[in-house]
Amino acid sequence: MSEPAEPSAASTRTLEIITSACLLLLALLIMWDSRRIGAGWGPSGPESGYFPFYIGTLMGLASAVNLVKAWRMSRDKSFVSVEEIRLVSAMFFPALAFVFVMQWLGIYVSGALLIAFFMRWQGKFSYAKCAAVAVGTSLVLFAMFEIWFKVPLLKGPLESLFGY
Amino acid sequence: MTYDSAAHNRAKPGMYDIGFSRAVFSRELIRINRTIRAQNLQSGCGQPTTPKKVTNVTQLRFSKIKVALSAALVSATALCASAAFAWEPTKTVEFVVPAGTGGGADQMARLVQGIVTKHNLLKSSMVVVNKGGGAGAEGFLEMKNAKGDAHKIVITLSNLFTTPVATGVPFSWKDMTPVAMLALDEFVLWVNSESPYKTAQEYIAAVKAGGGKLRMGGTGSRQEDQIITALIEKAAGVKFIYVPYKGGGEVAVQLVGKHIESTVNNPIEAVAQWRGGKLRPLCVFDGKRLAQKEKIADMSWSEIPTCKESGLDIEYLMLRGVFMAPGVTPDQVAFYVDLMKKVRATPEWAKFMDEGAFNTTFMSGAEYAAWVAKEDTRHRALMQEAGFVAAK
Amino acid sequence: MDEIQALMQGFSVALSPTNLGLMFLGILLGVIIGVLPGLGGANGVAILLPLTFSMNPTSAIIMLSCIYWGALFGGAITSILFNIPGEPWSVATTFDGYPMAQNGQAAQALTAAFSSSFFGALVAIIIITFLAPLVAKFALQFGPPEFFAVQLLTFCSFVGMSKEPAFKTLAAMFFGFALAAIGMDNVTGQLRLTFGFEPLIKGFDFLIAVIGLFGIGEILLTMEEGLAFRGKTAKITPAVVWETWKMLPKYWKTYLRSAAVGCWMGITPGGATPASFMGYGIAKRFSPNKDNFGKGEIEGVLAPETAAHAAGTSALLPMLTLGIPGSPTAAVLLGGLLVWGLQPGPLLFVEQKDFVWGLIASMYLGNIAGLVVVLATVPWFAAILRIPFSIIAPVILVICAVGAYTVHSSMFDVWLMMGFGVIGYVFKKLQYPMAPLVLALVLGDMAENAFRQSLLSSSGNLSVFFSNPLVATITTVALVMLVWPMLQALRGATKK
Repeated sequence: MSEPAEPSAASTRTLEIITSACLLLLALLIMWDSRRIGAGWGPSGPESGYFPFYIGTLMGLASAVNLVKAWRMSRDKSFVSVEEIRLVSAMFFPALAFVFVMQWLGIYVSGALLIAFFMRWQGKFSYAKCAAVAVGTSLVLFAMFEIWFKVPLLKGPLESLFGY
Repeated sequence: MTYDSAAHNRAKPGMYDIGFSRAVFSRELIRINRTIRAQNLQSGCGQPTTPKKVTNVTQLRFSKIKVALSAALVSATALCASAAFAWEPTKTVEFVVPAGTGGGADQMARLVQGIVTKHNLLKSSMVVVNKGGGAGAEGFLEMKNAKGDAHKIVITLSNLFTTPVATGVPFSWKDMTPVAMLALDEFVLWVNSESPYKTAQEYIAAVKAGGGKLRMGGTGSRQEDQIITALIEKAAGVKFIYVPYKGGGEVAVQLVGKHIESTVNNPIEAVAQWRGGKLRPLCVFDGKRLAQKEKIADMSWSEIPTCKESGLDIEYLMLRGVFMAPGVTPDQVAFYVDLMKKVRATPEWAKFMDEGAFNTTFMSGAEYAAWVAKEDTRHRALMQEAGFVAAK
Repeated sequence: MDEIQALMQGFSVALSPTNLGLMFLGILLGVIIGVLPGLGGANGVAILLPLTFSMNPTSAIIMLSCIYWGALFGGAITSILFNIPGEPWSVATTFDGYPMAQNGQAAQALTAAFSSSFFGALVAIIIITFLAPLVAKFALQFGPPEFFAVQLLTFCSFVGMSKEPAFKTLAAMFFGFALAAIGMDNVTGQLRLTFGFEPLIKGFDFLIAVIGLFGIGEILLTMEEGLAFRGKTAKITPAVVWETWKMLPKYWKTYLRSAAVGCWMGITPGGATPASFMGYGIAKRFSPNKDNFGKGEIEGVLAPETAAHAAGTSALLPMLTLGIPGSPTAAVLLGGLLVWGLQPGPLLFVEQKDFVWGLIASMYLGNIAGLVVVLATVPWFAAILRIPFSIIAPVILVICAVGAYTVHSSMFDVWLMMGFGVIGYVFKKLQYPMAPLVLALVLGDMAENAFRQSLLSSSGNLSVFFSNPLVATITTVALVMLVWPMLQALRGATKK
């Protein structure tokens, strides 16, 4: 955990409350949908919704307890400091962008872009090194999946240019 | 399938056109020819090619090559292996299996892939992709959404008809383009060989006497096995406890272990246990007896009476057919119809059909579409009656 | 001994140069498949199956089964190095394998994992060699109630030991069960918890959840601590292998227990993934170093690996003798047998002696070859940790995305993986335990199916779980396992 001196971005209490509340809501949703499809004990054992209903119930109860506990927590403890969240974001947002772009460019091109970008930005490697690692990784993956194992992955315009 | 020499003659020049453009023409031809002679693949030639492609130039080349190559080398089937089409796949063809790995549909798709690879029936490659989620809904939805994509084909089983009704997931065979029926899978009523029942009548009588306590095992819920069970219940006025399992092999073994009293396994799912003397077939759910005369255990497939002969007037066969995405052109469909014809002409296919005691009916075009439409209506009615429709 | 003679005959088949070559090729391919998350043994074998149609069946099965051994070995590598389970059965290996790597003991963990895998496989092969017919009979006794009892046992051997807050454990566990319930209900064929949303129809795949929770979650956590892996100071020399080997014999009890659990689970067939969890759970329960589990205890690596490999290997037995696959990979191999014109089943051992004994001999040789190959790569794999984090992190991310995509070829799954990554990060920091979550996700579906199949057969009567000596024994042992920790706690309390 972080030193108290570092400025905190969010307290553990906030995150605890958010998490347990989300789980509680999810549990209610599960219970509701299970009731809809039948959560009783039919003539030949439990119906479709029987187990999900009780799973939801128990999950809800446990989350409710966690929510109450979280509410009573002190506000001092930091979940993540500003510095830490900055570092995590440096990985998380490029990753999100990678997944987003993947839908159009395919997995290989967007993967190469992510690797090159991250190496340059965080690792300060030379452009040549970034390009080599990025293209190399994508080529190896391409050879392995598309050619060797014949597992089709998501491909974009560049690949179709080469007839894949 | 008969060997159509007229079609083959017409096809010749166009095929040479393609073959000649390759640098490794003769080596390729020798290799293909050798494979084919070894396999005695004599009837692989399907549709004629488009006559448009026959030009004087190619015919001239044709005569030159004819001199260069010996007559034996230029076998008709070798030409078929690289026939020219109005349309051909330009990239990898995805063969979608709307079921998990290891099941009947998966085995057949992988066999087709193997045959296509081994006999060079496709210039690009073919890959099998399993999309079995939600009783196949995952795979069918993928096809439905791949409008106009001619590099995707799907193999179907009965879940094409049953899944939309049972789950309410919106798709039907009309959302896809029918290509061809590869075969029909038979269903047989099986009991444990240590049980006293020798005929279907005896067993049904026992089910009646058992007062609805006898268990029928099957693959999945609200799918073909349970539909047949419902049909038996209706025809004979009996009641079973239907126990759903994940796969056909598992069902057969559960019967061997006496955890259930009977199954309606496909032949290929239960044949090993039958040969091992653990199971006994009672009747087959087809209009006529099976064709395979070879002895398996104490009897052959063809000696199993039909259920109708045994007083259970039920016919049920499962489709093993191929569909494409919606919105594809007739040329594209024609290519796959032809491909499937070639696949069916190989010895590997024949062997597989024989081992699994399949019904080898083949259909394509309007005939196939009509058959599928009829089955769809039938399944809807059957499932409605049995109460297998999704809750709203 | 007929078996010995037949086995020698088998060795002469398997030892031909072609078959030996195929063996090493298979192992190498298998290790690669095992390392890549999402691409599992089953995919690997299925993908390469069509290539084998022109081979003779014995060579084909030797190559394909070696891919399978390779995948079993390879699954541990990424689990230990990056906390990303390459295969479902190596999830339990991450619990202690990854902490070991962080403590600078990556090479030891890898060596222990590989050696244990080999030991597990060896025990299973010996059982296959000498006890096949007997064991096949035992497997036949397993109906739905017995399956449910075994799943209950797996679960009970694992729960009740977590150090995290009790209510968080419960919430995480039921979250896992809830995820497992999404999609189709196999017993009635109804869709549930999908809310009409099409991508949910196929349910939540265990692998996607695990890649997200463990893999992506761990990358985010590592980022937080600065751009570095903690394990990069690892001392890596070939001597580490010998030093680790010297340590292993003292865990002989754990080995035997795990191997027994694994063989049992493979034959019945319960599967390698539950076996690995059960192996881990039991080892932890009996170990004198209980408290060190989860912090980098070598016993926590060798127990699940032994069990998983024993289960994976013995899963071939019911396939050969009964025609039921004990694992998804075995299911694909089964399809292969049919295509090659061999019928698995009671007569295979009688009619296809060359094939069966060639295969069994290749199991011995393949696993030895596998051990040699993977041990030789230990220093090399461990050295990956020295690559700067700013290179390795995006590469891992891309590989994770590829892995998530391959499971169903679905873009939605990649988003899902990212979502699980965030959940993994938050859960880890808030001390929601991950192990009960994934175990519930693995077992939830299976256990519910078996439970409801049992009740269908018994017309809703719960006494079916005590209806014969076998199921009654397993159920009782499971319940004892469940209450044991409580009894121990009680005893501890009275002593004070």
